[in-house]
Amino acid sequence: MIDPYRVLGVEAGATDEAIRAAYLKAIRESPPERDRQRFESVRNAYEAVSDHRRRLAHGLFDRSEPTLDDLLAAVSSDFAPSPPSERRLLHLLGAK
Amino acid sequence: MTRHTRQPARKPRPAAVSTPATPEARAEAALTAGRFREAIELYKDLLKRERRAEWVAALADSYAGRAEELANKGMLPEALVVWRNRASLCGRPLVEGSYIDWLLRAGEHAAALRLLAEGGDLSTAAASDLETRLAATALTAPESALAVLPVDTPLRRHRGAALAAIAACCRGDTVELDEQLRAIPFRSPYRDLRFILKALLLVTSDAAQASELIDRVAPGGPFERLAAVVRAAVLPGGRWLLAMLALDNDGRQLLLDIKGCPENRRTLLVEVAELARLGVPPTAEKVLGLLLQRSRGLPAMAGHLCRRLLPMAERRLREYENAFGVLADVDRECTQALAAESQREIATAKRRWLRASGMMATAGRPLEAALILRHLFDRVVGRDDPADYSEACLGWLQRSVELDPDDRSTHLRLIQIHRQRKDLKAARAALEVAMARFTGDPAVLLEAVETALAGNAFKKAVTLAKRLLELDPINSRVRGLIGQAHLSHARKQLRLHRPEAAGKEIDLADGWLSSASERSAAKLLRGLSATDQAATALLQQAVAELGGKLPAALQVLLECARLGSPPANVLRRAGIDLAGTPSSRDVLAVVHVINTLVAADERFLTTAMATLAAPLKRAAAADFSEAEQIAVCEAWLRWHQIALLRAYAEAGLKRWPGRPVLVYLKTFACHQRSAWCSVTDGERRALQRAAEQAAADGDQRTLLRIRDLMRPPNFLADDFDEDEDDDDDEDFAADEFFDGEDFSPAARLMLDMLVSSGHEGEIIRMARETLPAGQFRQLERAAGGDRKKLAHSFIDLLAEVMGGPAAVRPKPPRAAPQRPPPAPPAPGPASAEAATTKPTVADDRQKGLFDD
Repeated sequence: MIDPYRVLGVEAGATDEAIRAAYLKAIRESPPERDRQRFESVRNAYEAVSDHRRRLAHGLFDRSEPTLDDLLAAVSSDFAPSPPSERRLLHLLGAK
Repeated sequence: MTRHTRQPARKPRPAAVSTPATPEARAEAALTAGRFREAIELYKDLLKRERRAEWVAALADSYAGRAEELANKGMLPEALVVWRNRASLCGRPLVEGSYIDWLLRAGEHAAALRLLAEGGDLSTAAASDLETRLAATALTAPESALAVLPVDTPLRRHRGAALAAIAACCRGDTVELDEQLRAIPFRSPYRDLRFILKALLLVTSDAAQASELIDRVAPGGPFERLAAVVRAAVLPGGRWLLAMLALDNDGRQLLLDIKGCPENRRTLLVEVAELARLGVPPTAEKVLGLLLQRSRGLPAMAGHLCRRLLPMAERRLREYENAFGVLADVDRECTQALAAESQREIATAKRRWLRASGMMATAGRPLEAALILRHLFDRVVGRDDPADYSEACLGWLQRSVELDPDDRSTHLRLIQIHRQRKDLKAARAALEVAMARFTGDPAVLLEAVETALAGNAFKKAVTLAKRLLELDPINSRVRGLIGQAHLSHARKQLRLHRPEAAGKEIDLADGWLSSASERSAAKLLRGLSATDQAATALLQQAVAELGGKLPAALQVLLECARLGSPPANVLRRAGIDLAGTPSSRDVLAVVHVINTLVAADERFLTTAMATLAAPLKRAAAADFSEAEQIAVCEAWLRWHQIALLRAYAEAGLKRWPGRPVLVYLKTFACHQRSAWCSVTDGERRALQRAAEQAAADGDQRTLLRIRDLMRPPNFLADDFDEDEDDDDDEDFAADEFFDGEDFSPAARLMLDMLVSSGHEGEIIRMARETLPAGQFRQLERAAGGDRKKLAHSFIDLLAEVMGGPAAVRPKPPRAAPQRPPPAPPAPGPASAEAATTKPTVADDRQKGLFDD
């Protein structure tokens, strides 16, 4: 299962318009001649959640196998990226 | 089998080593052979005698070799000592080769800095290189250690800016970072920091630019450990996980800092990375195991993922609820329904889905309730013929439309299903609802046209089609439908003996028909509308346009059947003579016409074929290619022309003996659905060979068809799937009973239970459908009017024929299957008794006794 919302970069509660806008943006960024695989995954994701009925059906019946990206996204969704501490960085460079 | 005795391994004969006579030669030989310790001693002895330049050079080489040897073994301090001896005894520069590397690897940073400070024998380039390599050391060394360096050395001059830049970077202060980095010139030993620190700050906000910046840093530089972390951090998607595994622990921790990973989740991240290293997607079970084990503090998204994966690992439901909270009843039902689907427990899935749908409908979630009902319909009905749909299944679809009235596609589907089931009343009712909801919708209007046509309401169909054309003027299908509606209306008028009205309809149809064949068909109808000379001329003209002979005869006969008029006169008027043997081309043209017919034409085709069958049969051995012969057979099969199928399959087998598909078609033609119990031994062997040949040819379709033909019908599947009241049987899927070819005790028990619970009618229905009529009558007679006994007799017969653990007799071997007994099994004691106590009843009186 590749989470379609994650592929499109939208929240799970996004509206039809927001999803379509995200889809068009993603397609522009990854046209098929540039990145076929990404294009396919964006298109599949859009087809899965393009309208309210499909979103509900996806939520109810999706039974696809998980991917590593799904797992990583699940455990890292609340990560708050930040610059490292000075101590840690200098330690890596050799400071005692 | 011959046992080979192993020859003892022959030891390599040591090469003859001749001891060199002179010490000089011995030293040279030791150096050449890589015996550096020996070479050092020998050259040192030689140099004690005389200080020759070539011996000094050779001693230096020996020291270098030895130091290299030690460094490769990880004995860095020893290597450094040897190298220093080389410098002092041979007058070679200390800073040469790998010396600095070894110093840094051995952690002797202070010594390296001293070397730079002394700088005596260093070239400018070497000094600059050494400075660069010592940049990270200088940056992190205590101030006192740097005192050995001259004040104006770049390492000291730019160090403050480099440290300030690091501090700014760690504060996320871009402005300050830029300012400090500007103070580090391009040639500074700290120059790599300019790109690394900038990239590090951009990792989360602009990964692409960060990637470009870090690409400018050559691998192996003084800040490589930091650069490697940033390189990993800018990788897209989950690739950074794999890169993380290549870092040491300090690097991993820094990377996870940058990514913002909380301390308590770092072990989990490393485990995820290890999974990534396997290179295969993780299973649902594995993911759930990983997340549920460490669920504390995980974000909500992890809970959602686990919730989605639960149907694939239902046994973890309790663990999930312990970790993420108890599921709502409706969610639990959905989860368990999906899990049941995965395990092919259709009855359980159905029960749970229906329960979930009901809960959702009452909880104000009608859309989801409707989606579940549609899903259930698709799962249960699958690709069945609409005629076989049960009322219960149709009820789900109907209810889904009530719950979600805006779903146009389901409205359309419902209308089509009703029409295909020939339930025009229901189709019209569904159409009315759809028309009210989607006024002026072309797709709904098209269904209205089709429904009107199906109900012979031709005028209404034309009116609706014209409305549709106003919305969609270039819809060629609708134009064709209008033409066909007028033609159908013309036929209706002809049947009512109103040739003038029919002529008007044909005139109207002409305006809408676009293809030549359609216009010829209209002309044919016009020719049939009267018997005068002009009409006959039109008829003959149409016959010529339709290809004459057999293909035209088929069209004429079809029209006669539609009009209900006897064909003999018409064929004579049309000038068609069906005597003689048609050519293969004629037969193929007929097949082409037949293949364009729709299901509703089947009864007319049956009538037409009553006249055409004889000439077509004569052409069975005509000059067809193999593919043509098979295609013609398939057409006869599709349109249930069994006599023709048999004739063509037999003719084909004469020309291409043993062709698997022809063997199948011939057997099917001879026995049809009762083949599994009525084929002869010879036919069974031929089928076996055909199946083997098909398997060898990779012809899976024929293989499956042969298997299906020889398998008793799986009549339970549909009924169990669609039965509403099957709670007692919820844990059984029909597939389990006839999964293999054996007749399992469970299947037998199930069938016996059906009989004892008053459902013997189902068993009798199956018997009637699958057994040859004669054999069924024999069973009927033996049962003497006792329905339950008849059902049990059939079950006995099934068990006997299919073998397996429930069979009375062992199953015949698969390789040489034996023909099942043609006669029914001997009646049991009860039936025997019945046979003796009850008077024999004549066959005619028994006939139809068990009709349901």
